[in-house]
Amino acid sequence: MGGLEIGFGAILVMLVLIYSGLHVAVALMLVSFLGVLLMRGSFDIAANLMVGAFRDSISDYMFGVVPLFVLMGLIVSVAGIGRDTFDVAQQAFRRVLGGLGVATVAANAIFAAITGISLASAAIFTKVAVPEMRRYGYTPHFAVGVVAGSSVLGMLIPPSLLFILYGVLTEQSVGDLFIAGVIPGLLLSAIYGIGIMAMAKFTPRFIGGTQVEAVEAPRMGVGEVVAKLLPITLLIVLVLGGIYGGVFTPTEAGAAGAGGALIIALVKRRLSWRDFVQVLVQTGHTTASICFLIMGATLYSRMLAMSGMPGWLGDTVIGAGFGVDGVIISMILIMIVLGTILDSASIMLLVLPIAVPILTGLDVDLIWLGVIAILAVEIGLLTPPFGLAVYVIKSTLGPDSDITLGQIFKGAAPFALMMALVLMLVFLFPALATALL
Amino acid sequence: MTDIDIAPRPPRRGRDRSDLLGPVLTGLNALGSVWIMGLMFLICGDILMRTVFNAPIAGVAEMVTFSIVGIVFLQLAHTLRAGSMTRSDLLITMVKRRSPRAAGLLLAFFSLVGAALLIITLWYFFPIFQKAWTQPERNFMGNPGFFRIPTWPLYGLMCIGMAATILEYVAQAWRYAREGA
Repeated sequence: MGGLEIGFGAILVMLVLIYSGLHVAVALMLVSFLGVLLMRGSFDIAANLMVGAFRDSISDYMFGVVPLFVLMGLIVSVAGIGRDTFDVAQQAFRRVLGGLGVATVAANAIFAAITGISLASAAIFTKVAVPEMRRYGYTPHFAVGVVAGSSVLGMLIPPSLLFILYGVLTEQSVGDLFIAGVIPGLLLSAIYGIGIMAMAKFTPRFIGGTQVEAVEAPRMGVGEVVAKLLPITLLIVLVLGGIYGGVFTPTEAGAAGAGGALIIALVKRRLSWRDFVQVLVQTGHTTASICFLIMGATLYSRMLAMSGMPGWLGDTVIGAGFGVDGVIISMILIMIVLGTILDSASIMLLVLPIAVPILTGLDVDLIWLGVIAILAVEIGLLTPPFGLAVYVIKSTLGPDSDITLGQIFKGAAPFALMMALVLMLVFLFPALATALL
Repeated sequence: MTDIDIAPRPPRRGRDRSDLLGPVLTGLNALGSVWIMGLMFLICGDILMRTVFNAPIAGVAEMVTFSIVGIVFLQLAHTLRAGSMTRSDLLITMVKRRSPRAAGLLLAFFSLVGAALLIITLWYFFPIFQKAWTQPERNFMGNPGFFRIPTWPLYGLMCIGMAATILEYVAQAWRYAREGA
């Protein structure tokens, strides 16, 4: 067997193993190990390559960013900052058609600027926004659909764990990627907002809800609004301002943000010792599982490079007259399809080691490609049968809830479509991603 | 007040008295958690020192590199035990509905695969640790004369982390094979 057959065979076997439920990182390692063993016929070479992946793939200053941003995201989550933001947004949009839906999107967009994990946003806003929307007569599937759709903003608006991962895999600046995500993130929020208002006007039966929610809730005074928005504003300025102004590396911004979030949570007296311990344990778990995945992915991409498969695939694809756009569109489609069985991080780790060497040869802007890749991957979060965000919402709702998985997918569908629209726009107008750089 | 309950899985308490591994993994996890806080304070301290006193802390970049590897290997086994390692449970859920026994055997097999890979890695990694231990002057991070940390403590932690993960994989395989999924 030649390198090519082994390269392709490895991918096939790996997809089967992953689908069967082998830990993704272990599947990556096993298949890469066996692939090298077959190609080189030496157990020592294969084993030493694996040791190399363990030893050096996460041994870099940049990886400090992972636990720090996760820690920050989890602290702001338990400190109730998401609820505060939602309260203010609810008041701001109370006269708008579909106001609570728009408020959920707005609160998510703001909250996304201090957290980098979609699933954290999905969990928080399921608890905060869904009951409120149902109280005002919105349909259950719309209420959860809005939450599922807007939780995606967490990955697009910096800081974002997926951008960090992408930057690590493709050796691009994480700071640049963060900045590239800003305009597409805001654009997606705006399109969501417009889409909700349009749905409220033209398909009121789909979303339900009363025309104007107003009056009932007691209005907050200016002082209270400021008190609720000040902490999150400070954190955004500290983290994004620090990176954008060139004062902080992303790792430093993560540490400063986590420190700031901790101080805010303590001042607001919203961090019990028990919560704090849970936050730390959870931070450790997320960090370890992501870094373990990265080790597997490093080994896998080294194995692929050894097999010569990405190079051959690139030549063939170009030879067949596919062109840059063709390659990118294929990548997008594959990512969306994989989204039906895998989580976003694993998809990127599987696809990028093949796609990026091909696209680098074609002079594609890898920062722009990062935004495209993340949008594509996140559409998968909303589509059945896997749709991780949807499952998180379902489990946050708890076993007593009358909302079914089918309803959540139905409610999220319009939002997946709007994401596809933004994906298309970024694809057609790369300036959307690169203008601020 | 909390917005989300970030610990959806109930802690496994009082499983049986032969669970000697549990406390060890919890201990490693706690150490890793403290280390994450330490990392945060280190970097914040560096930012403060350099902006306020114009005196940056030496070797922060090396210490961050050192820390991230240490943290990950300390947490790995506990992450595995808590079920937070990424996997697709689509097929397993389906099999489980038909036959928990079959799903258990499949999972047990998968756990053994994980253990086997880590055993190979540990076997080939251990000599590297030994070398770093016997020749610390040759195995370090950073620049000589400016700042350096020997790598043997880190490699030692990696060995411990891998060993703990292997044990947890084996324990899991045993549990799955006996009790089903």
